[in-house]
Order: sequence, then structure tokens, then C-alpha cells
Amino acid sequence: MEGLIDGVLPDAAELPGLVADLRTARSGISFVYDVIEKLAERYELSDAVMVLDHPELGRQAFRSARRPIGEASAMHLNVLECPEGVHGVPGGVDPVSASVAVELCRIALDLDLYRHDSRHDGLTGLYNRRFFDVMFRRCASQSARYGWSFSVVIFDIDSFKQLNDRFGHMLGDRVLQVVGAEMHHALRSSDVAGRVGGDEFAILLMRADRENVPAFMSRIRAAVEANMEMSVGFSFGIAEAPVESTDPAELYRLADARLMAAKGTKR
Amino acid sequence: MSVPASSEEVRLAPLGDSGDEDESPPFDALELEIRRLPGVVAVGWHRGEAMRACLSVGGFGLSALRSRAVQLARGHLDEPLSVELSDVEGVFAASSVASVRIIDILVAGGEVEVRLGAGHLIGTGRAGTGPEGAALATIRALDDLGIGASIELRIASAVVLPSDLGLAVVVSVVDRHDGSEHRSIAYASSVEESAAKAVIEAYELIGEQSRDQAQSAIR
Repeated sequence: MEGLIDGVLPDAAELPGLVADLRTARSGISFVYDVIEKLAERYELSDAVMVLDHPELGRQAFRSARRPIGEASAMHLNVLECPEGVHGVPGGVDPVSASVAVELCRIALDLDLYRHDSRHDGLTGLYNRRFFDVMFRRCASQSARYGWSFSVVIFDIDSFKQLNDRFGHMLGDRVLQVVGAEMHHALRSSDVAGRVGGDEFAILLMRADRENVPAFMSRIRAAVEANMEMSVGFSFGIAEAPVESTDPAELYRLADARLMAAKGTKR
Repeated sequence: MSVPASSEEVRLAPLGDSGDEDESPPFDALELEIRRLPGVVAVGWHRGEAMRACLSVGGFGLSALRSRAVQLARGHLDEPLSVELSDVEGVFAASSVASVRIIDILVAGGEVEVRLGAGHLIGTGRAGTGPEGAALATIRALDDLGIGASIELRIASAVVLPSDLGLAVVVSVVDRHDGSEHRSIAYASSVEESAAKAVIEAYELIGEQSRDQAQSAIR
């Protein structure tokens, strides 16, 4: 990372401290706003907007203090039509500094996107298996240390393979997307949800009663049926920490065994 | 000296201090996901009675964008989020087309299925095999993405390359907006992938030309 920045941006010395900030930033988005604030302070601007073109995000505008761009009436120019750079009131930022700042911000956003994609499933937007496992281990560790309770729920879609074979992968993907969307909708932000296999999902419900899980599954089923106009079934298994275990592998095994048992009763 | 945010505006960064050290602060992660939605070119925040996200967007199915943004917020925030959209369709919107990527191309049973991604969206299209079928499936997948792509296939044809490289695919597509014709050629590991790449390149070429024309109009 250090070599990349130094190699790509020999002029980074124009803005001392920013490269170091990028290395320690908690997120690319935060970094962008920090850069705007620093430039506003250095150039004594009362308002500033950074416009940059990103290969994946397209053109993006960021305004100081995270203000809406639509309220940029204080700006003397229409920032939405400005070239890439940093535009401010009452003045501006010198082109070299603006160019370095924009380039650093583009890299910061690249890093955000890379980090996001390495942790999320592209189809559903839920965590992927690898990052779900990271979060699972962390929850189990905290449960062991502080006695916090949580439930792990594993569920899958009944006869998903037959559904795919009969109606095609396109419809199968749609079902998975609707399930992912409904999980986003139904869960609290403190809960952790992942797609851990083809049609297998897992959730960590913080301090939740297992009695709530059937209602949650009914809600997802209803959403799929309403969106897809077809009937689907789900099977699920639950394990609870810390009462049953605080070992993530054991909790997963318990939940998975109960999922299998639930499927067995349907056959 | 920069002007501090008004009382109605919110300095969001400190909220991230409660986040996990391996995770982006929640508002940052949400803002990134919202900025990834097709057409979104700017995001601002207000904290009044409820948190409000103000999106500047470029005419890509506004109601769908609103519900998608609210849906994304539920994954990050426990409090309700209202979404305000301001349509900036036109010059700026023309430059905001998110890159389209190929997720998968499946060929089976005399049919090709093309899956494309753009930001968070996924689109799928199907048609017969061969260059024409794959190009058609790609255009259907672009339509399915809902990003405002509006092109029709005119020609898709395989071209034999020198030596043993195999086949490239040339496509010609028509922009439904103005009837202009755009051509592209691509080479990949299969004829179907070549056709998909060529269609996407032609589509993105239309976007670039729209941007150039818009910038000329400003000058």
C-alpha cells in the first residue's frame, strides 16, 4: 500500500499528512470527508465540494460536513457540472493539491469497495461465508467472556435444486435475492446475516429468544411468496449461546443437525 | 476556516467510533452502498426527528432507488431513515453510469444465460447460443439491470482471427434514444463471452459519448 501510493503519487508531498491519514483511515468514505475538511481549513473555505470520477461508482460528489449537494446554493457555480476537483467558497484549491487529493480519495474508495466485496455475497448483499465465520467467532468469544446470549439460526430453502432445475437459475437467483432483501428488512442492525452456501443462510440473533425464530421464518416465506407468486418452504435449526456452547464449531454443528432433523420430518 | 455544520446537520464520523474495528463505521458502509446504486451521484445527511438521507440521482427509476436505499439502511441502522431524492437528470447524470460487469455466462441446452452486475444490481438475460444469441441475452440482462440501458441489437457476428486465436465477435447496436449506431469488437475465451463483452463495450461507449456531448454543450 505504501509503495503503491508513493509510486502513483509522487506529488503526495504537496499535502503532507494525507497519505499517512489514508493508511490509518477507518474507511475510504471517512477519509474523503476528512480530506475535504482539511482542504477547507487550509484554503479558508466556508463550503467545499469534491467531484471525482470513479471507474465503478461513476461521477461522485462529496460536500463538506456531509451536507446534501442539492443545497449547495452557497456555491457560486453549479458543482454538478464542474470538472473533477475540489470546488469551494469563496475561493478554490490549487490544481496540484486538488488533483493529489482527488487521486488519494479515489484510492480510498477503491479500498472501501474491495473490502466490501471481499466480505459480502454479490447476489444477496449479505455477508459471505468467510466473513460470517469471522463475526461468528467474535460473537462466541464475547459470549464466553461476558456471558452474552445469542442464537445461531441456519436455514435453507426446501427443494431448491428442483426449483432451479425446473424453472432455471434465473428464478432461483431471484428467490435468493428476495430472501436476502427480506433478511435486510427483518433483522436489526446488531444481528449478523450471511449466505453461507448455495441456498443456505445463517443468522446470529443477538439476545433473541428462539421462540421468535419461527415467526421470522414465516415472514421471509411470506415475502418470497408475495414477490415470486410461488410457494416455498424453509427448514431451519437453532443453537443458543452460551447455554448450549460457546464454541462456534459446536454451535454450528448443533444448528445444522437440527436443520437436518427438520428436513427429515418433512420427507 | 470551515463553517461548522448547522444544528440540523450531523457530523457522522464520530458515530463510527462505536463500530467494530474490522468494519467501516455504519454510516460510511451505508453511504458506500448507497453511492453504488446506479444513478446516485451525491449523498448528504440530516438528523432531524429522523435520520434523512438526501440523494442526488440521475433518473434511474427513482421509486426503486428510494426503496433500495431504505432497505440498505436497515442493514446498518436501527433507527428509521427517510430518503429524499433530488433528480439531477441531464448533464451530470450522463456521467454517472456505473460500470457493468459480467458475473457469469452459462451455456446449456441450446441456450445462453448472461448474468451482469452493476453496483448492487444483478440482471439476467437468456437467448439462443452463438454470437447473436449471446449478444441478445446480454442486452436483455442490461434491460433487466434497470439502469436505463436502451439499446437494440442490429448485428452480431463472429470474426476469424489470424493464427490460432479463434474467434472475436463484432456487434452493432442501436441507441433507442437517438437511433445512432455503435459498433464494438471483443475477444474472450468463448464466442458467448466475446459477444457479451462487445455489447457491454458498445453500451459504455454510448455513455461516454453522451458525456462528451453534454460537456460540449456546457462549454
